[in-house]
Amino acid sequence: MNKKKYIMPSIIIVVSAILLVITLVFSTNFIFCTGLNSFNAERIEKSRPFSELAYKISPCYSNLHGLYDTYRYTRYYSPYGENGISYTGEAPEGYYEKCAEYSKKMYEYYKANSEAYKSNQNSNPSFDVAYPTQGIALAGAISNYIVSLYLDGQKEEAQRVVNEYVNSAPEDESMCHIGVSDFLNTVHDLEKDINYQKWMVEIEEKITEEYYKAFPEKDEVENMFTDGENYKPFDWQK
Amino acid sequence: MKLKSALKYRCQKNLKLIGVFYLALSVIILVPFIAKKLFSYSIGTFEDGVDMFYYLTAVFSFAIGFLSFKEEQDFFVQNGAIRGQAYKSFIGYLPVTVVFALAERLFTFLLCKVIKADYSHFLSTKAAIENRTFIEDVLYETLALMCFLCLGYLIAIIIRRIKPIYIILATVLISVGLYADYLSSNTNRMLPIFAYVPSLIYFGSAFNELVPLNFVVSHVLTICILLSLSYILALGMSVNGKEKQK
Repeated sequence: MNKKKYIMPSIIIVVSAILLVITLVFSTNFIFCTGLNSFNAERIEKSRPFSELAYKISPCYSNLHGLYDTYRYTRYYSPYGENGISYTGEAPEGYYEKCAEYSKKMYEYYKANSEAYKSNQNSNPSFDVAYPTQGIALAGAISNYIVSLYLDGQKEEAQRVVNEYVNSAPEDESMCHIGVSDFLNTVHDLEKDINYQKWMVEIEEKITEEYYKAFPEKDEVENMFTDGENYKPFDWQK
Repeated sequence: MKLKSALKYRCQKNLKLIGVFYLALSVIILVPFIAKKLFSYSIGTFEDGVDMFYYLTAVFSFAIGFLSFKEEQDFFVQNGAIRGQAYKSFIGYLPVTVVFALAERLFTFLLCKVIKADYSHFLSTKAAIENRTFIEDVLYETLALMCFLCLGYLIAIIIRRIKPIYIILATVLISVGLYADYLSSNTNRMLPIFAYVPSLIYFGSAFNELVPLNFVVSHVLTICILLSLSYILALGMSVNGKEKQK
């Protein structure tokens, strides 16, 4: 058998494979998805080094999105009960710090690229489900950012970010307040400090007011999560 | 047999298959249309459903690639063509996917008109979101269909090269692996290989800047890999089980 015939195609395969990986990792149009299935916590945990390496090599949108998807506070802390995406154990050291770091970067990206959403709005309503508006994207990122800060013990920083966010949120995107609602909903049972609780109620009232402004015709916009002034932390001992 | 004749034969042979395929697609379009006319049947709209012709065309491309190798086995060498020529004629046949892509866009457009979908123009739904031009859309689809064509060809060679017992063994192992992985996904026990092998998934998103060059480059590289693998596997393999010498 003539072995020379194998040399050229073998070289093509090796070179193409290397170029393919480089193209995909360095491209912003591709998602370097290391989790295979983002709903499986174990896979995400094991594939985390790949995501970090990809982001280290090329800090582009797609790699940042991979890490943002990987570092979610819900992986270890799930207030809505256990599910396939959560662990039961304690979060590793520095986990929430990384969650906050990457979601902050993602939030800044979404904020800086507001035009990208507007230009992609299509007349077909079914697109809105798969491709969220800027408000929804901002809400997702800010929610992960502030809850991670809180769970990391940086309560004052979370407070500062929330105040800043609520005051600077785009007026035409009231949906971005969902992120803050999510924060209040997630942490209000954890907080024991009376002053912090008061501040949470104040923030909630403020965003509820924003909702009323945005959706004046909707009666269902109420103090959705903490019952406003009647707020009482849930007693788990009962 | 010369290369030109081989290519001509391949096109003529597949013409019937292509005809049958598009006839079937026409029926798919006509059935709801006739049902609507005769029985006042309400069809409704299914915006995302209009992409189904793309998937059908992808499967068809795969099948054409798969059958291409079988044709080589049955006909080419018996008519004096050496494997190199048969292989080159397959590469020469790849641009036929442009026709597939254009036909798919046309059929999608017709279906959209028949069902009166909200969305009805020549671009795919994904292309509309990403603000692609028509030429870009057809180019992307052509390249994707080429990949399917090459994949079908490669798999046909693998099946022909490997002994049936190994194919069965591989199928069983893959099935067991996938089943074990499925079982383990809910209990955090899993096959490490599935966790450590990263996957490269591409998709454009609404907030993603488009890099069409990357799409083209990655698809061309994938085609190169598939064709080279096919070439290596087909080397030293003759049509009638005997080594053919030039």
